[in-house]
Amino acid sequence: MCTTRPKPSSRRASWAGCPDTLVALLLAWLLLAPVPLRAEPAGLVAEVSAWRILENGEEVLWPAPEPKPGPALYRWVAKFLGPDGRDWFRRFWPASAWEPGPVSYRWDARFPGVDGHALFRLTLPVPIDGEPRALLFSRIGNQAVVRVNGSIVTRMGEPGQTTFDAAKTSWLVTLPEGTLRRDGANQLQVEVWCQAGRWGGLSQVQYGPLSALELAYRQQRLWRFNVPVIMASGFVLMGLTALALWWRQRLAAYGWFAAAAMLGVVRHIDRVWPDLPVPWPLWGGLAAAAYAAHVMLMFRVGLEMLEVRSTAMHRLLLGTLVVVTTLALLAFVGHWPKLWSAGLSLLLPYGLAVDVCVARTAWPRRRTGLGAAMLVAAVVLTATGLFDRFVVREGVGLEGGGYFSTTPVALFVIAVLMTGYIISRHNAAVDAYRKLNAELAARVAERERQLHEVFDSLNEQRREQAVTEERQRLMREIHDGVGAQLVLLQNLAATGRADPATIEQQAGAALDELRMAVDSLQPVHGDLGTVLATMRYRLQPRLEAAGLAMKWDVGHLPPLPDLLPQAVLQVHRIVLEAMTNVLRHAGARTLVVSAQAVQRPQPAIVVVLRDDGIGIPEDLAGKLALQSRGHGLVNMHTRAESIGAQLSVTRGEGGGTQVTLVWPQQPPAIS
Amino acid sequence: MTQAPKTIRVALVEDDDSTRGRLVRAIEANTALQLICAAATGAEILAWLPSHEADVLLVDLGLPDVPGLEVIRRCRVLRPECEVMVISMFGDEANILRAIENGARGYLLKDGTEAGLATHVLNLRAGGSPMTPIIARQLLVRWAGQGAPVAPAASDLSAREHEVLDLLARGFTYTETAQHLRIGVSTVHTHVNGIYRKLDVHNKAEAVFEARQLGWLP
Repeated sequence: MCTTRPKPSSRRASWAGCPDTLVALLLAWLLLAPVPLRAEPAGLVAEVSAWRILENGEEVLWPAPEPKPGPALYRWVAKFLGPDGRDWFRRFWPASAWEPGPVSYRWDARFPGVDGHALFRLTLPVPIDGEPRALLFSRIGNQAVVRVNGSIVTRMGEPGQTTFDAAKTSWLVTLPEGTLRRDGANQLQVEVWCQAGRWGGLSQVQYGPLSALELAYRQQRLWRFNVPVIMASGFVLMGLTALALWWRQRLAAYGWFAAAAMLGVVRHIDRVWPDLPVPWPLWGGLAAAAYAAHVMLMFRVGLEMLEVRSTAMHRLLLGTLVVVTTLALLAFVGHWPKLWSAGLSLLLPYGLAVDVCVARTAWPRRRTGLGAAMLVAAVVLTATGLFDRFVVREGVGLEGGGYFSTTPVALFVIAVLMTGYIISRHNAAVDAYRKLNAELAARVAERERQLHEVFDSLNEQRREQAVTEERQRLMREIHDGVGAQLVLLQNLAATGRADPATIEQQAGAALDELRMAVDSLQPVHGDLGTVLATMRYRLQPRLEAAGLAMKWDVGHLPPLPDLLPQAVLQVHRIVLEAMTNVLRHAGARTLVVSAQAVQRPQPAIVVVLRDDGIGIPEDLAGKLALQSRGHGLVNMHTRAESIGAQLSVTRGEGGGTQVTLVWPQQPPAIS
Repeated sequence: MTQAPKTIRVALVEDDDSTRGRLVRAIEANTALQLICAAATGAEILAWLPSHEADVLLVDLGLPDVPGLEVIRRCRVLRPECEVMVISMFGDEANILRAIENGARGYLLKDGTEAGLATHVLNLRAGGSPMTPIIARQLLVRWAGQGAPVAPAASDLSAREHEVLDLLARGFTYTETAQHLRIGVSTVHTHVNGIYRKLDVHNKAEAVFEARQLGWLP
């Protein structure tokens, strides 16, 4: 409509732009919209001169000839008079025949955005029996003073005390003895102070015997107090549960749900707590904003559960949230109830947008539990939303509007279902993890088993191989050692020329071989000293029989790290051959056997066998070892070499023969 | 029935006929020994023991029906005053040790000469205890914590006993050992006895208790 072509030389006119004009018009409308009064109207009076009594389901106009006993629901048929005494209600409309007024008188519907106070005069019928009478005020707000026949019967808050809202609960007022006259009509005066922006006024008044009214009072309380408390506690629990779940698993659905639940608590607390410490009208704004946020966040949770990822929807939510909460605060603090109505109206298009989204996403999934539930929830919430906005708040179709909004209750039920869904999803996730865990554990166990199998079979192979090798070694040794000796023996016997002594000697040699082979398999724990000792133990009888004295000088020898049976056997054979030589050829009287560990010129073990016999011939000294009958298929020198040692046969000092075995050792590892 | 000077009553169980024959001849050849039973199976000797007394029992470890160790154990319970000697092959140190753990007091080698056998038995009765270098080495290893564990009830070796084992393991004779340590030969024997007793896992009371549990004794 308006276009400006900004010229570089001209300043931009402040009102030339469209948006500015619109805003101005809006503000003007808000400010100047016809509001009946801005000032506080003083003392509005409602005169009740006739009552409608519900009797047997019929309405009868009172005064009736005979007032009936029992509680009667008195709906006043009222004339509302202005300060000038004229019928206020009919101020804008022409006065007509006196007509019954509405069932409940709502200040905020008649005078929106205005604080004020109203006075109600009701005539009470004469009690006919002695039972104490009582008044049951279903809803009265926001602060009130009740007088019967001029004397104050009860006070509900202080006049104008904005933190006290008597409308949040029903009141059962017992009329003390002597208050009611029996001779004439009694006058009930209810003076009510109302604040703008919240329910104020007087709704149904019941008058009758205390006992009967108590029942009704308890029922009202049950619904009006216990149910919101239950819902508030429920929301708190659900909110905390969702928060706890969100803490560990940052899923958006959990977080939004926790926020929505906590916000939902506010409204329910507001419904049951008459005197909150938060000042009115700030509290009204906060409660309204919290409620709007609660509704919108619940929608958001629904979208999250359906996994709708449209950024347009999220931006719409954010935008609507900001606008509505601002409108709520402004409406209450600034006494502009139209803003709050506008805000609530904004919820509707947002709700419709959500409905469309849900329909698109959930319809294909209508067979699953979640899809069907979401569709039903969307339909229900739309219905309750429309109902609340138009019937409860505006009073369309319901005189005076309603007090109970259906949306919070619907949302509570939906929240409970959502919690159930969240918990089941959480459980499903936990189950999935467990299954995965179990699967992984099974796989690992399988791998381990396979590895073990392979390992075991490898071990088995190695063991078998080691056993096979050892057996082959033993077979060789026995064959070459004992076997050879026995063959010799057999040949000897077969010739028929051998004498028993030779045969005995040969058999003895065979036995020696056998014993040495067995001894070599004994565990000696790497101690060469024990090896030498065993030889002596075996040969001692023979030495003694030959009259050979032994001088034994075996010291502490360091343990040899791998003294295998093969090496032990070789040492046995060397020593045996040396000793046998001494016995047979040396003609000695003493044999000295010594074994020491030396460090110079290299770490080694030195074994010396020295006798004091005739000594070996010079030309044979140092040569390959003496061979003698029946012994030494392998000579001592070769045996020594096979274990890594050096053997020398020399002439000892003072005559005699000396056999020296030098066995180098690895130096011990430096620790 | 005792006679002064007491002959030593010897019982033996050996399944191999020729070996048994040799043993019998060896014992009968010595006037200080009296052979009172020569059983061929474990069952035979176990049936004989409850009703007869013997001073020395020679047990072959390789019996066909009852393990030799079992015979040793039962004999200890039935006839505590009878000393058991194991008849062993020349390479069977492990079994000898096990036999000593179960209550045997000494061992004989199967391939020994017959004269030697009688001497051995007499030595045993006189309180002597034979030991081979390999057994000495194995005992040292055991008490050092390697190899087969010593029974928890066994106490540690004393310093003297350790020295004795060390010298024997290196090949010194009993006499030479006694000279080294400046003690008497009989003391050396006593030490060896003590070592063998430490090997003996159960003391007599325990053995009797166990026997009652297992139903051997009434």
